[in-house]
Amino acid sequence: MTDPSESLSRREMIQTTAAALAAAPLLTAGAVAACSRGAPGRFLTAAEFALLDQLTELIIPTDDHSPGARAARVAGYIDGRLAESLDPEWQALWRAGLQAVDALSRELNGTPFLEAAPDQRVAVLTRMAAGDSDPKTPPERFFNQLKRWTVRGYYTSEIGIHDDQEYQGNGYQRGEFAGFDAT
Amino acid sequence: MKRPQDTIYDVCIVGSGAGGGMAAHVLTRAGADVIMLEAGPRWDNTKDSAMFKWPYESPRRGASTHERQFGEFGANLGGWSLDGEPYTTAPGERFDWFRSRMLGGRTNHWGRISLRFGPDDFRRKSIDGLGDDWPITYQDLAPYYDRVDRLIGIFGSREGLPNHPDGVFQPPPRPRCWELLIKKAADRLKVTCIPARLSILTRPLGDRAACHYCGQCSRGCATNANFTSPNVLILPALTTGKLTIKTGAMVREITTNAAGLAESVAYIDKATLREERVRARVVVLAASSCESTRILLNSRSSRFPNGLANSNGVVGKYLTDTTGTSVSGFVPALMDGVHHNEDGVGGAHLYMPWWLDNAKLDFPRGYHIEIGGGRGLPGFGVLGGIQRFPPGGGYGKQLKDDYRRYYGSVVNFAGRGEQVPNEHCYCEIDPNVVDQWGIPVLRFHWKWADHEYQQVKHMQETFRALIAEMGGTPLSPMPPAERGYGISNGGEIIHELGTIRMGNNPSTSALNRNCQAHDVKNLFVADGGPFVSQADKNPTWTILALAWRTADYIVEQRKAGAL
Repeated sequence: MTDPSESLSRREMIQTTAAALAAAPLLTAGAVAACSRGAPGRFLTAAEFALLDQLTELIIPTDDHSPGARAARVAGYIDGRLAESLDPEWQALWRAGLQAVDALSRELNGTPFLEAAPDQRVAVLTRMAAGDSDPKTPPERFFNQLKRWTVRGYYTSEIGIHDDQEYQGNGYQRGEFAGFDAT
Repeated sequence: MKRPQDTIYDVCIVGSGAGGGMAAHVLTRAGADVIMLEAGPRWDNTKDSAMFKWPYESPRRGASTHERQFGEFGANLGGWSLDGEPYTTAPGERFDWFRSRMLGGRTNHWGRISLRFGPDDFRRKSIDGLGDDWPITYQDLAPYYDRVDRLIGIFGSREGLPNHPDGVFQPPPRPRCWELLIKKAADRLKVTCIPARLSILTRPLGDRAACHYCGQCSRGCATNANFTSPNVLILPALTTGKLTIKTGAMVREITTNAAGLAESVAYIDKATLREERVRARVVVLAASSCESTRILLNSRSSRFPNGLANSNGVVGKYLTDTTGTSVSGFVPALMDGVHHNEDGVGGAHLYMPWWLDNAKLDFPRGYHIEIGGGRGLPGFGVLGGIQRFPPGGGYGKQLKDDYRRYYGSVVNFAGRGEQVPNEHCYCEIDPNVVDQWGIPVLRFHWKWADHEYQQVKHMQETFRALIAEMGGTPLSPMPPAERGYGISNGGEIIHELGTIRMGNNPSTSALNRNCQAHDVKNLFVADGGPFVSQADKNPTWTILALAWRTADYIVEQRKAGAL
């Protein structure tokens, strides 16, 4: 025997689920907005985050022209992507990569990266960057990943787009397309 | 409220993209009661667009997501893989099938490249003996191209080129700085380079505003300055009061009556998961070439054991896609550019129509070249691969300085060429696999032929010559023959066509010259299925013109009492 009220509620449940599925893209957009307002997800430990933050700033530093990766919160961007990732291999790659940086620093300088002197840190990064276009060792491969995500995070940030690249578009242009005369 | 299943409609249209939208537009205006079935949800570019959104407004910075495979800000719901909706490919072969699931389909996010086919494109077999001629000529379709131009709006320039017919054009936008540099190189190499032909308004049309040049057409235009099926065709059709739209309707099959005529369309209502039927006097399939093919092949009965409109086994055959390959180049002359807004329309302002004579080449069909470059809105993946720039790489102040100097210094050339239909490229029903609603799925077979490989090799050589002429360096080496000279996967360019082709001979075609099934006179196809050949032009403008012509024919036949 089927209880009529139960079957009704089941049908409602199915309909509700289907409606939620149909509205999924909107929910995603809403979730994205909520996420950017709230505290970002965290994957890295405080120590790992501090190391990543320093590495990103060394790759895209503050200079006379504009603030660098630290000001643009690039480490937070990467950590957020790691926290949201459903790919444990990718997450593990970052954790192992950061450990490899410290290991390389110990090998070259006798101290972990963040305890090394500025020129010692540069020596570590220089070694990692040696295989930029054709990475072979684990630190070289990690540098590739680190640089790619640092660049993505920085040049899609407010500082990267407006202060550094001085991008002029993304707005209403009235009348004819002005092109080169626009400035 | 009356339920769709209680009504007999004049016409049931399956699909809401370019072809379905145009059919609805023409048929409702002629007074027909039309129901349109769409598998996806509603999507309204004036409300749902992410136009002007900055990457940093999202923690993902615009990266693609599972739902938005072209980026989270894009106006596309769909992709090459859909949860619960598999397709298969023959062992060792590859075909990527793109499917939209949203009102308006791919017209929401397409590139708006709106090229007419030329006179030669309808009679290729007469010219080179390959493929087949269409049952209609350019002259048959020209009045409809004109009407499409006027209704939808298109910019371009009158050039008088032999196989690239001019249209009813609004003025084109000025070329961007980097485009002028490309044109100089093209002129020196005698490669024809002319203003693009895009369905984006540069002048107001009706109540639609002219383009404001933000370059974000693919996100959906909040001001309706570009063409989508909903904003120009479907929403106006709704104002006639003659159009009913049922979204979330996944069509399974078309049923026939005792006389062998199409009687109803059976679909799964995704909201209730129940199978429903809608009855109609005429059925117009416009679900995309392969999805319409799937519906026909799944419409089996004792009278039509091979599926509908398929007594000769033609449905699913003659599948083609546009060929593609691309090369990017770093051009020092574009370094250290002056900061200015070069967004422009959402697409290039110039392009290169096919300029050579295939009779003098080692491949039979041509291609056109689409170009890219400039200081667009930095998005996810911006300036990727800088280590390949000479001299790129490293880190620190030098790298940051390089990025500033390099921004806008990369150009891209992408070829889009005509494939000759071949016997190895087709789709059929996979007897062993069904989707989440139990509907049998398509299995694809795909092999490019030497015609296409030779053509793509020519593209690669041409693009490298253009980059060299600009004083630049390609960012990738020439792909070798073993990698097909960098040819795209079948389906990757999203121009799949031809699987329900038209023709005068009922034994070698599924549809007659009016896109009416030879076997079932109240069944029509209005998407890319009827195409007899690809041409080196994007298909949308021809889908629109052909759908309008087909809808006119349906109105005529109904008035004459023949349907």
